[in-house]
Amino acid sequence: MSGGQPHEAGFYTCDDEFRTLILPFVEDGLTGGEAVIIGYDERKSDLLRSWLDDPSAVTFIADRELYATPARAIAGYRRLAENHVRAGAIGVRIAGDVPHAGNGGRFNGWDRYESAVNTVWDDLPMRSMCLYDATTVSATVRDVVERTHRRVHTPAGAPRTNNRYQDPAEFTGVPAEPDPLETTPLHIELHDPTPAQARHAMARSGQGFVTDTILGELGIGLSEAVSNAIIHGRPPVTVRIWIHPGRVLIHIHDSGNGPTDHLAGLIPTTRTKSGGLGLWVTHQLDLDINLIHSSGGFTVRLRGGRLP
Amino acid sequence: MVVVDCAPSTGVSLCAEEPSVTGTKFVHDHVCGVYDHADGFVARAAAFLAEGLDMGNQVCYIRAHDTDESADVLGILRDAGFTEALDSGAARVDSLGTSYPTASGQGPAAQVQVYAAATQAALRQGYTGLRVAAEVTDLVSTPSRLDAFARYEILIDRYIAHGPFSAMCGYDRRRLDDHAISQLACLHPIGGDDAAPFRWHAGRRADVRLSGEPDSACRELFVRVLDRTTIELGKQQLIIDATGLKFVDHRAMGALEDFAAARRVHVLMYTRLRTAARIRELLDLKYVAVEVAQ
Repeated sequence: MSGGQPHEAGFYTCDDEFRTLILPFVEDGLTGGEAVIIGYDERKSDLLRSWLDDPSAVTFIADRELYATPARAIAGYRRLAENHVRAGAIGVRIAGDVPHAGNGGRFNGWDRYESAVNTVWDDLPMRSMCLYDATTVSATVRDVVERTHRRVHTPAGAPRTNNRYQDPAEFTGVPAEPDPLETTPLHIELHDPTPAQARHAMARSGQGFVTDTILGELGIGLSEAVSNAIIHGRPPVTVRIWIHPGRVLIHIHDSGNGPTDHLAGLIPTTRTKSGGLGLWVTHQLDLDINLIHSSGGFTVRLRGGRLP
Repeated sequence: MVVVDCAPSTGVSLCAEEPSVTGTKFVHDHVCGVYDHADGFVARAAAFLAEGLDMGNQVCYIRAHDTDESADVLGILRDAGFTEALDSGAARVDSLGTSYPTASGQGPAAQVQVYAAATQAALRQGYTGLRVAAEVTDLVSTPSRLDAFARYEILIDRYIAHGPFSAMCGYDRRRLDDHAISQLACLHPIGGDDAAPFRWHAGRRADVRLSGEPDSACRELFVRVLDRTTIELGKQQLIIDATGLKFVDHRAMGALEDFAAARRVHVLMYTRLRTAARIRELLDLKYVAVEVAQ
């Protein structure tokens, strides 16, 4: 089994139970000289502030961009933790809200995040607590939570060791949800394009349907995916683009096996500036991304604009 | 639905480039004249030089070493209306050996001085400047020659950007492969459009002008261009006008960072691409700053 930093979960059904689970985690950390970073929404942050003797001792992150994408959350928490460690903290505790339908968000990609955070901060003295509202969490999300946390807390008693936990290298994520646009006629299909050809076709097709900002970010994602398919994949490379007012959906497919690294795109693959970062850069952008492995090859699905 | 097979063998291209121009109306006249027919280049060169004559320049056609194709250059120019200019000395025809005496090894900077001196001589004779069209394929016919000449192209382009000197460089596509031509085309502000995925050359109000789309397909080319770029001693900041940049990826931004770090210079890039600023932020670059122009 790989990884080591404590990454635990809990389920609550009301504010009192939420308090029972979060308060000891925060107070034990503060007492022990650790930094505590909280990424909750305004309501839960205000609740927590009201329960603490000294809320100023906790770092509350109000910027919702922290949870804009899974890769951004991993990088964001890393930066915050590194700053605290440099400032003298002997450890860092984090707690925040992973987006899912029950809290008004979308869970796509966050299954990989929950698995990844068992290992991605191994080099830092971090521990995390993921608390979910049992009254709103879906069966799919609960299943992921149970497979990605070694221990699960309940308000009633001691945390239990979770025998459903899957090592990140073995974790199987949630299949990508079909998008209704995929059942509509394609706008354009490209066979073996260069990255530039793909970008130009997408930009011409998407002009006026989504903002220039979204087109720009889609251009980066598309270019990286085509580049990776050419360099690392197996031909033929096919790009399919669907266009709809307010939306662009793109499949980049090759007949290879795709990345074998379960952390692909969630962390930078190298610390150098000159290459190997394409998938990670793409995962930092305001795009919805799925990495889809199938018997026929590997597909990167990019979605820009509003989601269904 | 439109289906496009982009494989090279079909000849389909979605990347319609601006057509090549033979003459120019730009001040920074440094033209890449890629050609695949000898007479075609001389005709384009004649148009370029005629424009120079109209501006009061002294003009010069520099022909390749004596070959059957170059033998009738004088005839072609006279037919193009250059007789009076040739007779008065406003126009002349020289050879590579005469005009590029440093080609055998004195270094790119020395060749720039040759043209600087020739330009000053033209000015002293009452001309407004010097304009040259040179068939230089022989000077780039091996990898080492091409490397040296590419470094020269970067330096002479700086001189052209700010001085009364302009040039068209002729490259024979029949003797040079696409890889060689792209290394040269991208160093010119104009010409060779289908061979230059991006352009890197001197700017008039910035140190460098970067345009086009440096991406994964031309990463090696971009790195090579940066390697060949020298920075003046003591220079601490390099201003890049990237308002003509249409795409940039993390590889190119990373290469710029490596380039700047190696030369201990800080780069300030002006661009309209918000994605350039975003990538810079994501990569946490230390030597490259980006300002997004509105």
